[in-house]
Amino acid sequence: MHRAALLLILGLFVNACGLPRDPARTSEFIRGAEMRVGVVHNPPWVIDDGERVDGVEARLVSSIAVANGTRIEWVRQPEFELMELLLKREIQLVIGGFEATLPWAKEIAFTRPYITTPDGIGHVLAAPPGENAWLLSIDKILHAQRHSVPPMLAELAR
Amino acid sequence: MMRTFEFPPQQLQARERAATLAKRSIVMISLSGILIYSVTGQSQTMKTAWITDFLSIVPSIALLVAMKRELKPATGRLPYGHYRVIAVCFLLTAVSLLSMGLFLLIDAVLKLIHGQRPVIGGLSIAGQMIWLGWPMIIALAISMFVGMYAGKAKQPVAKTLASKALEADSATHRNEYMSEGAGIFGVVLVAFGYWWGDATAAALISVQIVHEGYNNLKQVVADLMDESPTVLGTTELEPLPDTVKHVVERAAWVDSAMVRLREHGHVITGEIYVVPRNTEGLVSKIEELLADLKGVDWRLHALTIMPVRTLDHSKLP
Repeated sequence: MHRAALLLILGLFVNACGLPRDPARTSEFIRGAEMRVGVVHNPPWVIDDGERVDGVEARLVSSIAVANGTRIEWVRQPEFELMELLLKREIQLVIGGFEATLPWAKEIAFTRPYITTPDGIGHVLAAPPGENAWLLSIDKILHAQRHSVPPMLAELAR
Repeated sequence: MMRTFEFPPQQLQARERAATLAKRSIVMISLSGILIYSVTGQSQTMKTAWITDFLSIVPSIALLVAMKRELKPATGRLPYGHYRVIAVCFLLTAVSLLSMGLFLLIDAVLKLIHGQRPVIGGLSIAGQMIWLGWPMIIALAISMFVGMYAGKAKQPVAKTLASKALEADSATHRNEYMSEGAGIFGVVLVAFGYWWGDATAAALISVQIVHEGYNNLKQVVADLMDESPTVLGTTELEPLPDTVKHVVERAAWVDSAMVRLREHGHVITGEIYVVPRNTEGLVSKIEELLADLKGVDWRLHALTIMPVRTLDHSKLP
């Protein structure tokens, strides 16, 4: 039991030492540069009018962009194409109001649900599988923003 | 009908302890298995870990069931008694180990071939978002210690009972440190960005399980083929048949003897062929000899002494 406690403490220290890392360095790649985000129109989560992208998730993506000091480039393609691009790490995120239980979960990485709707469905963003530092950083930002989501949802669902 | 075997007091105590330890390990390992399952996420190592955790309970359950049945009296249908139910349970656990190990190995190798990268993101604990890899490592460490405790506790009991099934069970637990250690190392590799670390660790763990399952299977198959008793935990033959032979040949009325023994679960039985110098009062002499042999080893049970003209079996019907 002492060892387990020690490992936890070690983990907390090491957390500050830059672990985990991305095998393909996604986090480093986007910082100060640009972040390519795939969009799938699905109000109120993603509201795409061809020019501007709004919606609960678009706003969350803005927070992520600000936190990383990066520009957003929206990528519009059919959903399955976006997932391919995500797998190949040619884009860094896909938003589409995805539900946590979708079978995509087996192929790509879903974030922790940033909200669970009254019907019990958790909503997630999609990231490239294996880029765990990137995923963790998104999870942290979503977690920090969690209280702002219900008001956003209320506003956009009208 | 044959008299049912009676365990000597020391062994009776050991059986109680074995049953207690079996129940305890079932509870502890189930809990640690559930803990691992709850932080598994999409890691192949974690999947292998919780599956093998629950697998390691199978020998304990099998043993509890077998120990209840083995002392049932012999019946018309089962004139040799129920002792071999121990070997049946041993067989079940060996086969389940082997097949599960193979399945996990193939699963892990396929993941490596397809280049599937493990997703280990965040987990919210006490209001903080931390990397899921840390609780995974802790869960693996806990499982490691539970396994080590169970294995170390069962080892002396296995020795007292000279029980192959319990010794194999104990060895499986003690090898936890290798399995869970490899698992922890796999998660650490993933932390450093080496995505292949997860499936590789899982594959190595599976190889070890296959190896264990195979060794156990070899042992129990030999047992079921009436192999001569072997020393606990090895494939070395026990000198017991020779010991019995010497005790028998010490009797004045015996000219020469040949002994063959086999393991029937926790007891040892067999046949002793003797060439008597004369046939006076043969039946009482045989009974006396059987009584003498009781002291040679506590596991001996229901031996058959057969008087023959010559030990050369080709000359007998």
